[in-house]
Amino acid sequence: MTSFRSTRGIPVMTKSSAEQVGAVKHFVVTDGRIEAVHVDGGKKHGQFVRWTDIAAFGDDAVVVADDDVLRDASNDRENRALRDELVMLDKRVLDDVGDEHGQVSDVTFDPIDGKIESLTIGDGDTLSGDRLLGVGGYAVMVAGPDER
Amino acid sequence: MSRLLRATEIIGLPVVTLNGDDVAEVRDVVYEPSRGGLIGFTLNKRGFFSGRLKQVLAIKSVRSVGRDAIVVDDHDAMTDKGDGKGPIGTASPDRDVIGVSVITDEGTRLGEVTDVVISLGKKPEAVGYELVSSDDGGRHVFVPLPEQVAISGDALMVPNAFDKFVRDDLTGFGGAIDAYREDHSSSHSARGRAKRSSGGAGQPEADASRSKSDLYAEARGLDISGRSSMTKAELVSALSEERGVR
Repeated sequence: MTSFRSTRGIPVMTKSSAEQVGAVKHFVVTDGRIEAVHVDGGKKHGQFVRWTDIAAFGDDAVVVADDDVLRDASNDRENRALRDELVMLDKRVLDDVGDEHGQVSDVTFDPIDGKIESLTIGDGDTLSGDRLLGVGGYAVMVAGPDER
Repeated sequence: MSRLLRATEIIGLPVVTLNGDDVAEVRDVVYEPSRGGLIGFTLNKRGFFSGRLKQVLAIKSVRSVGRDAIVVDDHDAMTDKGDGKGPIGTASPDRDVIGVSVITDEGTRLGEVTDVVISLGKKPEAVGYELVSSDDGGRHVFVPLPEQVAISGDALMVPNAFDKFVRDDLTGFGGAIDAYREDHSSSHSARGRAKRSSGGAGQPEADASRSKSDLYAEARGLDISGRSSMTKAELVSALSEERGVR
């Protein structure tokens, strides 16, 4: 299972030169999918790799074709990610009714297409990724229980 | 059963968009006692000492009021006070219901309003009042919002019969609200019909099925003279006449 916690800090390597160009810091998640990977520890502080530029997302390393896929923040979401505003781990979970459900302890995703599969809340409850509505500075928003 | 919260507990709640961003926090709950309705919220910027926001949040732009946050679709849910979207911008001190006496129509003083009780969820509404009762050494009690409220800056007049729905705690109050509504659902639907049909000239048949206090309130709204000494039948015909003129 690939998750945010288990892949935090794994190296980002280039296929062309087998060099480490940085390490995974966090993820920019938009519309239930990883849009970009926030990479740190490279030549420049805080860069991004678009999900579509990733050759392989493995358990031990992220492989990209070349280091030219690393780029600076290029949109509002990435600029906010640079300021660590959109980090999902340890953020409060709020449903669309307005009730809180603890904090995100981990997020699992599909390493092929970057789709968010589930959110783990606190030390147990798991929510399907389909219920993820948005990730903001204040909360991770999820769709509330159906019966309400 | 409805989930309930005091209006003062809503103050300070963050206003959060579906994107998960907190765009404001509740400064005050705007409530119109004479219509028994929740109108919306005035807002503060987020964070300590950050001051008042010019924008307000009308209840119709709210997606849900929860225990921990007020949820809106996006930033555009908040509107400028002056853009004519409802009466929030004109909120005046005489709307303040806190501190007024609650008196039954038989002249018993039940107590003083200390808070308004709001039902949470996707259709938030004001459902009752919290009172400090005049007897029992200032016991806190909850009373449902009456069907027909007469209110001034001095007092809130309620039907005498409704003290059977008074509850000591907010948890039992949800059930009392349901029981109260059940009890009043028949008169509710009659009033609904009367409202829908009142666009025409006179509606004496519909009016006849309304309560006298309801008719009286409308007569007062139309400023019909001599209304306080009229019987119910006289109110019905006076209203019918008045509507014909307008």
